[in-house]
Amino acid sequence: MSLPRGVDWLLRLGLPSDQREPIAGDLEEEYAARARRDGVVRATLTVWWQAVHLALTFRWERTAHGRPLPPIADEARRRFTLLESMIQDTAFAARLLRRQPGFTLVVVLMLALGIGANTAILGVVDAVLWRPLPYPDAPRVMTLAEQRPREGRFFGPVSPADFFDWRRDAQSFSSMAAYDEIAMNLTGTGEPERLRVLRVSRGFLDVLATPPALGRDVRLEEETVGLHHVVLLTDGLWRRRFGADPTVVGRTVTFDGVAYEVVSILPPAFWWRTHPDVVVPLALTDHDRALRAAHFLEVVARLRPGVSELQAREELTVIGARLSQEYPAENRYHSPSIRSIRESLVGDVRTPLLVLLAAVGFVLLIACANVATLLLARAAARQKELSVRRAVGATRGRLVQQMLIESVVASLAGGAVGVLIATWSLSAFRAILPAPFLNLPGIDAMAIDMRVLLAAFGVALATGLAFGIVPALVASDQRLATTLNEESRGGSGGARAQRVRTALVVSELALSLVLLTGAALLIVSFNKLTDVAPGFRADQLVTVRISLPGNRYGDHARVVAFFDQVVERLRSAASIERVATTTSPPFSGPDSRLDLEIEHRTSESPVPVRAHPRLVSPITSRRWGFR
Amino acid sequence: MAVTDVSALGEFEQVVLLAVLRLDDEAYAVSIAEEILRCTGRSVSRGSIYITLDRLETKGYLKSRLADPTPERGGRAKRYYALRPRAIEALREARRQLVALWRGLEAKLA
Repeated sequence: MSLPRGVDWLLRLGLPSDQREPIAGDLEEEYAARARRDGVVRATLTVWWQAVHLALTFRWERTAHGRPLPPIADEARRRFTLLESMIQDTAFAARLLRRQPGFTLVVVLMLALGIGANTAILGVVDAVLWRPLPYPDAPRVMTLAEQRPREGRFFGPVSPADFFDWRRDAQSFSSMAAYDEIAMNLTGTGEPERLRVLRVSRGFLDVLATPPALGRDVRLEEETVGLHHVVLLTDGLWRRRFGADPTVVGRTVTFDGVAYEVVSILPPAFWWRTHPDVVVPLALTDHDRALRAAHFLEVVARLRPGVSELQAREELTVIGARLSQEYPAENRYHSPSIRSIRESLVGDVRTPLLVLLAAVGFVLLIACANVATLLLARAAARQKELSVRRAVGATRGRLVQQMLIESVVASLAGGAVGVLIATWSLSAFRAILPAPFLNLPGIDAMAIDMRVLLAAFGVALATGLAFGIVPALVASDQRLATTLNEESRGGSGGARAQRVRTALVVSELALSLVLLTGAALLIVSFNKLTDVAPGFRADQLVTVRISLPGNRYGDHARVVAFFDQVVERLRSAASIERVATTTSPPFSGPDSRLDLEIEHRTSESPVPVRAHPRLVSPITSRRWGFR
Repeated sequence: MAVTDVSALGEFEQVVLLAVLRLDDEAYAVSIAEEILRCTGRSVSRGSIYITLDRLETKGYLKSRLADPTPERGGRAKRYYALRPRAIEALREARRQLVALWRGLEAKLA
């Protein structure tokens, strides 16, 4: 219910400007209340009387004690005006965009592509590189490895003997654990299933700071062969195969025909890059524990509070140097190396991802330059409107504000469509994910969530300002406006406006050139990669991995008999031309090695002569296409 | 100086300050007038409330802030008032002086 006619005018006449608004508000509030209680006539009379009284009182007060306006009120009033003008400009910009659907469509689509690509890649980068790993205090989790620079290896697997020495001697870590991965068959309950198995030494869960949800951790004595038949089920397998039954703890399940006691259920938050189904103790025979030349263990460790990565590295270097002296045959030119777990998980994809982010950033910049050129052209056509506004008192700042708001409104619309494009492209991206990405942390949770949305909003806002600022400044500049005007009348065009436009086109070309060069180099590299000769003919070659349950095939003769039979049967299949067996196919397998001694050699070679053994069944190189 | 402050506080100014103090975060001209009416039975003119609030703010006893505009006020902002520490001191001093003057007068006024 607004104030009766004339009251506003009276208040304007009598009250100091900083008091007018709150007092008018108070009166209006009272007017509504009184009208409900006593009727409109009495309310009107009361409010009129109050207004007259107030106007006179303040007039008198001002004449008697004239005083300056309190600064706070001035400030509040200015803020309100700015906000008001911005709302007005936003409504105007929306109307303008609606009136020119063709122009709007082009601008919004161009921006949507740029912002959409950026949002999608940001979603990936955020999930993979920036989100914390799913471990408490994750930056303290390290991966340890052996480096053998003379053999070109900088971060390779660790030998068991070295691991046990590190674990015994290193003081920088609160826990250290080795692990490897195998596959086992779950039998006994329902359909047999091949499971991914993570074999870990005592302390693995301490390193990840992820205790079991139910039951207990692996014990030290379970690192001994014979005592190791216990299993920790992951939450996924527990739900899928055991119906989330908590009484499964303490029962036995059968893996590869051997009974394992379920000692715990891991929490749903347990994450490991290979997505194992179960975790079992890593039990090594005394012979295996003493191996120093065979490198097949991966090692993780958690830094003790207060110890830095650098301090840990220094300590490991000292331990490594001592081991090199003690075991020169195996450990000469070896040293331990350390990396944060994130580094070892995403180290390889960080640069490609950031390059990709930069590339889509360039795409957005090109879109900005395009839109800026369009806006500049439109600004020339709008000179009349701008001149009129300037003539009735609009300042340059006000004109720039209005044009900037127009570009921000357009870019926010582009951003909204862009987010749709990003959502679609992320799901498409997930479907064609390259293999190295599959084991990255956060890749399952990759989505356009609040963080990414906020980033997209920021990008859209910045984009609007970026492409809007040049046209806004040019169009609102009186001198430039004149030249633009001349141009629009068909003149030869102002040199200054021409320069601005040329600069935009040149920057656009430069950016496009960088992108095109990058894309071309990428295609060339890809071609070269596919052309690399592996040393054998890889087409029409199929590999199959077979691991035999130890309890039924403990005897060497039985293993040989099994594989002989497999080879025999495969050979008789019509679709198969040749069959061979090997301990590990090319480019895979554990990193064990043999030291070779060359007879009659007089000087020591700078690089130790070592070979990585690979056992193969008899084959004919020519027929297999070895080169 | 507390004593000087209080000598500068008029009786109506004390009433207004006490009403503001009672209303906590809800003190604006309309609620202040209502609070005075409720506690003292005095109906005070709107003009004198505004003038007094204005004067108290100029003297540094009150601070004010503009709240967001609301529709029932025709989109106009509301000015809320709050006491500055100086006002609390002045009110304490005023009460001390009055209590001192009242002491021993019960028999005479009975």
